[in-house]
Amino acid sequence: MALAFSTMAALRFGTGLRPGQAPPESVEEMLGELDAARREKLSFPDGGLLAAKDRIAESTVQLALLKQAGKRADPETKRLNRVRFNIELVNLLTVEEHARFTQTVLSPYGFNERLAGFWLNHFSVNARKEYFMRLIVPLYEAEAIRPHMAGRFADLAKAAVLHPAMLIYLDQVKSIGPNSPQGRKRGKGLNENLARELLELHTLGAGSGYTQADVRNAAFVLTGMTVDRKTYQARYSARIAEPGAKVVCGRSYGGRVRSQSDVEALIEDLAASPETRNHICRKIAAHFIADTPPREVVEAMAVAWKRTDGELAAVYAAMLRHPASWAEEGQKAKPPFDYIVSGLRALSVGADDMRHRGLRPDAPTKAAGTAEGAMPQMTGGAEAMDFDPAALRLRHNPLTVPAVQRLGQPVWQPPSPAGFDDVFSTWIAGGPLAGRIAWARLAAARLGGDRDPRAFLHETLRDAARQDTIDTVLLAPTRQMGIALVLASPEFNRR
Amino acid sequence: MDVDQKMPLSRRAFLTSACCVAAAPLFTSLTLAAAPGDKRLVTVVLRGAMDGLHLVQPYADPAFRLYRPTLAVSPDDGLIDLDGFYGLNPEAQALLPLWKSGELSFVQSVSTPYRNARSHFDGQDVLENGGAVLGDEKTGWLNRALSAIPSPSSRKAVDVNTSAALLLSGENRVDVWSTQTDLTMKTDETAFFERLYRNDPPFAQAIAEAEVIDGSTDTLFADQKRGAKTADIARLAAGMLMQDYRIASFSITGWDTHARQKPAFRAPATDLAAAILTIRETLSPAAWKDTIIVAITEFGRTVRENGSGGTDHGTGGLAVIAGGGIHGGRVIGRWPGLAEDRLLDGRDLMPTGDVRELAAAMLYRQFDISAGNLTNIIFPGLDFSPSSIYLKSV
Repeated sequence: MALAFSTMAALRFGTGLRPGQAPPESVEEMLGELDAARREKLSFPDGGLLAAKDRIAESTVQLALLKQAGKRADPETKRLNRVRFNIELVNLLTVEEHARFTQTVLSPYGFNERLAGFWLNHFSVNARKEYFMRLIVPLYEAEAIRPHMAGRFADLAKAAVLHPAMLIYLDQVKSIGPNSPQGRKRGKGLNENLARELLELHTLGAGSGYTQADVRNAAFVLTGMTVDRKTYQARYSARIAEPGAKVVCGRSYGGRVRSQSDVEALIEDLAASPETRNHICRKIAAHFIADTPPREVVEAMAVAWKRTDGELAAVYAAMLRHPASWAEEGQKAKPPFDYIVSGLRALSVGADDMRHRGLRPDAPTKAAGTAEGAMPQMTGGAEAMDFDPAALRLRHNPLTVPAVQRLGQPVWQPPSPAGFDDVFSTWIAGGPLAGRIAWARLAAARLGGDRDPRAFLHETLRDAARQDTIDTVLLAPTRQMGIALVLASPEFNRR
Repeated sequence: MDVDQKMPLSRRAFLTSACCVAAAPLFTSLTLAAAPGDKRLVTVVLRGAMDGLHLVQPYADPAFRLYRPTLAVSPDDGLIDLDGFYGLNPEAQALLPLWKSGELSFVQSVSTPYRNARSHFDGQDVLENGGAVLGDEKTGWLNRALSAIPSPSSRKAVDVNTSAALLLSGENRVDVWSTQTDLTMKTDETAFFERLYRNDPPFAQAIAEAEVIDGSTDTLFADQKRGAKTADIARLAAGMLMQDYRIASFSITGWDTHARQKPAFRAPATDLAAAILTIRETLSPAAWKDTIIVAITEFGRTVRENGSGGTDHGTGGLAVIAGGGIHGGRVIGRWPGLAEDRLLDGRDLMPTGDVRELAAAMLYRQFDISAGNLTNIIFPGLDFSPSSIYLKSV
């Protein structure tokens, strides 16, 4: 028997049921979320986009000052100051990582949050690529991914691919046209990394027919795109752009005079190709519905894409309006972030329960760790002896940031440009399941309170609850064990 | 319109179809004892760029001391002579018996093809994905190797880690187990979870697997505390190799010694020695004979020490090989020399070997993977043949 629409909407297409928050009752309501979410104030970056940009600008100044001061300082002082500076950046990221949980757990727009997770993983970047990426990646999700998820795919692709986070992550900042003025002077050359992933991962898809020559020519077209290291804004520099026209997949880009519009035209054309359309539609359906998604759903999505020139809202609508999208519940395994988010939602966790844990009680009083953290102080040799970096680091909330790391999906740190795996067998196996059971028990102990497990089961899984789970929870020796069993149940891990 | 027709047969998809045997459920076989004579491989990733010149010091080269006036240790100060040219850092002296018994070798001046940028992040990516350039491969070479092992019983691999490292990530099923993964349940509690999962096959299989591993981990650690130290990780890895796992991988961190390298080297060097010795102790003598441990790092460090008594990111590095069946007690690989004009960019040890060739040689030796698979799928573009010096040397 099919599950209720609202149950499927919350489990398969949302972030799970949260007692007191009504799940969508119709496809129109779900699509309406996309508009409403655009007016939602995000929990990250801390203080908003402008504050995040200010922090980046301040940090570049701080770093320049440190380097200046380093010329006069002894090597040890210089090193310690750099360590402090780096910890400051790590702490800023820690704040944002926790806020990302707050955002997804508290937002009433579950479908929108799931799309953010999907597109973040599709256009993967890693906050550990270099130190400043710790500041840039939260901003990337907030300004390049989220505002464009319901618009044209081409616009989303341009925003993501040309954002400083991506330009740094995939080494575009190291790519210089060999025949550009800079290339001739410095003898440096092309880096194909972004071009390759743009074709293989972001748009056309592996094995869709493009050649190594297309990759190389796309890399030539991309030259010129770089990042201003003072402001960390993307910019186009003609001094590193390879002159001349280059052919990618049969179309020519650029000429004697090059500009950013060549790059944008390339992304537009790639986004408009049938290979991209099929690749992306299939990937979206595979994310939400099943590792091998129903062919008719993918076709309906591709038709909508073609009709609207890649309006993503229309593509989502085609998926959601197809009956096959609502059949056979539980074919996908929630990846760790979504598993924990849905567990915290089931437990009605509020913002206070999701905060980081601040500094160690014995930490030095003037420590780094807040958004307005002080300039690292100059230190002498004596202090260096008992310098303890751990005392300067913000502590994590054990139920969120380190938990997803342990389960294999650290926030903003995918293992490769291909992102985290999105298949059942990766997440449901001995070690990972043992980790999930451990989390379920910890969450039940910390947050379960005196809930009645039977009511909890009904509120969080409704008609998706299976007989084995109902029976086992009834037999649980303690309330805590009952709650843990609900959170560890197969249907809570599936969607 | 036909959407699926265009589905690319990607490298990834190809591997999926090629590896279905390896991906098949294997949990029942966990209860079987390991067949004697099965070859095993342990990879240890030394993260942070291990200073090979500090671990194994070319003390007989007079230039060495000039490059490293405070860091170089002389035999008079405790450096342990290995062969009249190289000496072992005393922080790793626990390894000396293995060197003497021929169960330990060092591989001099190897590197990945990664050049000129010296970023840990990118260097480790290349080390683990086995490609010729950054971004060439999306999966780990050790995962791709699983598809190419002829004997299905040798394909079971574990990543002893909190989350899967790139090295073992890919299409093939790999278990991830951490020393901190502990079901810590009484039998009656376990029964609830078994009941919860009994009618959902993948979950039933996963909990059965988890219980077996958890049980054997408990036995392995007996009354000792299950810590997260390197020795604990190594014990767990070896314990799983005594079951039906044949490949295990874990990491040792702490090698990024930009300052005060002498004291800073102590912890990771002690860890490395402890890892190797713990694996040897935990394995049966027969299993140790069939095991090779290979420890590799993303790149070496500068030949000159810096102003903080440390070293900076370099290129040519050192790999460590240990095992009960190797012809060890040797420093393998061509020594490039320390003359100014022999250094890469005037600063780094010149690489004289590809660390991927070393890894390929170990895979070839342990698992009979064909040279064709090694150079096409596992390390695309690598030059490897069965006459590799790394094969002759082990």
